[in-house]
Amino acid sequence: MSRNIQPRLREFAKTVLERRGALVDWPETAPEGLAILPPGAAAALGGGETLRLSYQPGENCLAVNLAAEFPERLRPLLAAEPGTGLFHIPELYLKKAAMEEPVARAFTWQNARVKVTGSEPDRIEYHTWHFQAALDSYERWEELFSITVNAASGAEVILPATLGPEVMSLCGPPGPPRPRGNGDEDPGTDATFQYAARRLMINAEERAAPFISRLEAGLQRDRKRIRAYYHALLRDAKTPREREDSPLRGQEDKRRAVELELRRKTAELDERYAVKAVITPHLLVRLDMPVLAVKCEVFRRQAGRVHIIYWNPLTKALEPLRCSGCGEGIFSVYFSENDVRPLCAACFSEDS
Amino acid sequence: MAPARALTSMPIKTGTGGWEIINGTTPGGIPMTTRILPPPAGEPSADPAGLRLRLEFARLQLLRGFEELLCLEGLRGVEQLPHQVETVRKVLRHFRGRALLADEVGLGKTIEACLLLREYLLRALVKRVLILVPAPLTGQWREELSAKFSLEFSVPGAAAGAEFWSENNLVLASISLAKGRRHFRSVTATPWDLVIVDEAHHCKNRATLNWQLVNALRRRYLFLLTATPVQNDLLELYNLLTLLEPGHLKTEKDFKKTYIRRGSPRDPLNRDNLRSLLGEVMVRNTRSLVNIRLPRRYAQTFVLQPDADEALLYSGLDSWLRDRCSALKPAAEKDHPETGAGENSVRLRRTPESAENDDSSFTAAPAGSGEAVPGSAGLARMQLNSLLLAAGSHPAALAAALERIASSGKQAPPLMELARRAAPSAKERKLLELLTRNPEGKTLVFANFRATLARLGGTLAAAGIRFSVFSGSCTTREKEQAVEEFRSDVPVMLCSESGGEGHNLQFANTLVNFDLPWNPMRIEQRVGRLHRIGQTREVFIFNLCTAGSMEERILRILDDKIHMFELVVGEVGSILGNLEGGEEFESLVFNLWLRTKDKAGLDSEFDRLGESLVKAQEEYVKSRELDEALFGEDYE
Repeated sequence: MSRNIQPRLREFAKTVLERRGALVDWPETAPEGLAILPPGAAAALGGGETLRLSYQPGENCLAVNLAAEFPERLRPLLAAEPGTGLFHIPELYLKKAAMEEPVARAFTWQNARVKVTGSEPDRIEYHTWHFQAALDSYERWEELFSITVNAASGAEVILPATLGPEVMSLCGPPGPPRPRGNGDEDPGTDATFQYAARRLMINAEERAAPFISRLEAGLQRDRKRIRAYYHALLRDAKTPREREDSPLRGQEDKRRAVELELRRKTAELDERYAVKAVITPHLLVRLDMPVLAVKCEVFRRQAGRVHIIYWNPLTKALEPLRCSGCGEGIFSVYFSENDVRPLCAACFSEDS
Repeated sequence: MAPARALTSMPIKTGTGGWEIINGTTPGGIPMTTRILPPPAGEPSADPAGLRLRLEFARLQLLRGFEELLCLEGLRGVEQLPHQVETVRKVLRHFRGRALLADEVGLGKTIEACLLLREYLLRALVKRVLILVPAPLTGQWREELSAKFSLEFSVPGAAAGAEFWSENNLVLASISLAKGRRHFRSVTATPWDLVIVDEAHHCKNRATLNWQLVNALRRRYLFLLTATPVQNDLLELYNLLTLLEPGHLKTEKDFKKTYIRRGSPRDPLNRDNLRSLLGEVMVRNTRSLVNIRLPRRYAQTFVLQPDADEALLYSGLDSWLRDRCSALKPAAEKDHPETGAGENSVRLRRTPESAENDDSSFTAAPAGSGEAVPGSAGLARMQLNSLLLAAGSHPAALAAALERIASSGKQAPPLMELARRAAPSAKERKLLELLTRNPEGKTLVFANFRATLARLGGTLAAAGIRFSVFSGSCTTREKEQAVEEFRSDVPVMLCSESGGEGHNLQFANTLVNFDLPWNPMRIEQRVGRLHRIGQTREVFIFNLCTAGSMEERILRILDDKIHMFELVVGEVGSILGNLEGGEEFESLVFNLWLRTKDKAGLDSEFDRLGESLVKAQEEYVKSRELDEALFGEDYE
């Protein structure tokens, strides 16, 4: 463990224990500290009421380092911390100017006529899902991702860190239940989870590409090597003498044995390279905030439909529509023939 | 991950109390399963601090990347040498979990393998681990894994059933036991995440059961450990690498044609090409590469004539024990022929802690060790062994062991009083002489038994020699204090077997073995407390033993025959690994005592054991020379 991580670990351990009611004395410069634990925390940590805290392991001591059992021992205490947060931003400045021009600048309507019919303040939820994606093969790749979804439109948006001070400083106590009436149902956390998990898999696939490529190259090379080896063995098994004198059955047995071994080794190789991906949702941050809902009437041949585009006061920008095919956020929008659903170019070509 | 479009159209089922597994392949065809865990449940909170804490927890855990080795933290008594850490990184990053660790003797292959093992375990990349070692090294491995790496491995006895191999996730077994007819099928039928084979040169020949066993094992990662990958000819290296990566050196025929020069095994063809291929799977650190040069060490053994009373005590004990053990056959004769004395090896294993905490170690014996000797008033093998060891230490230790027998309700041996009343022994007098001769120096005195340590404490105090005590029964703080006193104040530290592991004691350069473990690896461990990296002065070792004792005989063969005290640290292990048969050394010695009836018989058995050791050493030296010639000192 490099030294520079020690203050961070110390602070983390201290906060976790203090939040469970412990009294912690561990000055910044000291190599060791002491915690007096309430019975619940003591039981969770499997020890007495007094706990020594140190960067190094020792008797009746919580070794605050990333190796050993530090994360595992603290896990029960962290389980008491919430996995979901709900925060309200009571007020934000909402754009008052006409929205025709901003919408026209932000969006390209590929196959329909769109008319902005008005805009009004609304309150909606944004769901920020924090995930960990891990790929285990003969080595490991892992990364943290956070994906924020507009719970009303279902589109992914980029917001400032929702747990960060910038957003939290705007939060206040929950206000009255937010008005509905824009016609859209709140998709809820289940829907945003599904969407975010899918987005995560796409993002993770991109980010893990070099890792996967390395695995694939290794597997190809090893498969090739093993095949070459066992095929050569097979050839070597047929010595000139055997080819002339040996009964056919002897050669056949050898061939079978080599092929069996090749199969076994190939299976072993596949097992060795096999990838196990695990996606762990760590937490959900729900942010209830005011937005400007811009109503757009879309005319596609004989059909028509109203879609809402959201103007976000945190980013001070219009959010994309969500492709009803693949879920991608889109600014270049096609619409389906009959039900006038927004589509990306790829989904539109499939749809038609 | 599966292709993106397929995934986005794939329903993810959640909320049904489970998670989703999506089976697929990577674009290049690697089988892949994806598991999505359920989202966090519970009432939402309006407190951001708890959420931030959870996030920080996830971030901190992510720091367990391969850049930051986890295995280095929280180790007890392991010096992390730069070349070992570098080897761990190299194997993790470039070798894809399959490597031949071929460091020169004494550079810490075992430590490297254990660090790798710990790293894989901490990262949850492996769960089921099998370590195969020569039988004489089983005890040493088990202790190191436990004491230094906090890893408790299960060791099978010869009687272990088929289920043993699948039920235990961490298994340490002697290779001779695992390859036996009784176990071969079970060991190879069970999948292992990681297999480590120590002294892997025993798998050099494809026709042997050793090679076939390792080849047949279902394993994901494999580490082969040997300081001498080539013992006779290059084909042995080929066979080892075929275990790791079949085809890496192509076929045997190709290999012979490309690399072997007929009649000149030390001078391969295409040496550079061969080295380059070896570099992909083999790590070999040499002393010159890692620049480890230790000062010389000198050993002197004092064989001391016992006083009349002491002599009477020893001879009385010998006859008393022999009267009671005639019906007990040596372990090796009763064991499965293919497995040697594996079970008994475990039975007779004495950990330093067990010895020092319980003078007789009767209670430390695993199940089955309580086999009573007919006609011996209920004495068990373990008890006999302990009495012999205690007698070799000091009459006080013997008295304590005898008292324990008496208190357990068994017939009190008649020698107890004699042992209790014993005057200062010849060894004690010699110790005092050595200490007074070197009043300014720092001397580490090793004794295995608590009673001996207590007695020595009294003797030193009476002679006005100041000392500290470091034993297994001390708390961590007391141990630290003992070392600190020894460093700064007192000239002597009395030490139990586990003496000072994890503490730098190189400020001392004199060691006295007041008693002697029967296991040469333990003797080497003791010496290694002072003769190690960081030692700048010559090291002096004094061995004290009583004439005619088992310890004298052991020292005779170790010192006179293989010159153990002149060997480089680690060489003893390589030599013991070459010993034929499947017994741990201490078990072997005890069986010699059991097998013989008198002094002459014992002498001749020890001579025979000495010859075996010499042969094992010759084999080791020959292979070391060949390896040096092949790889040179600059292999990287």
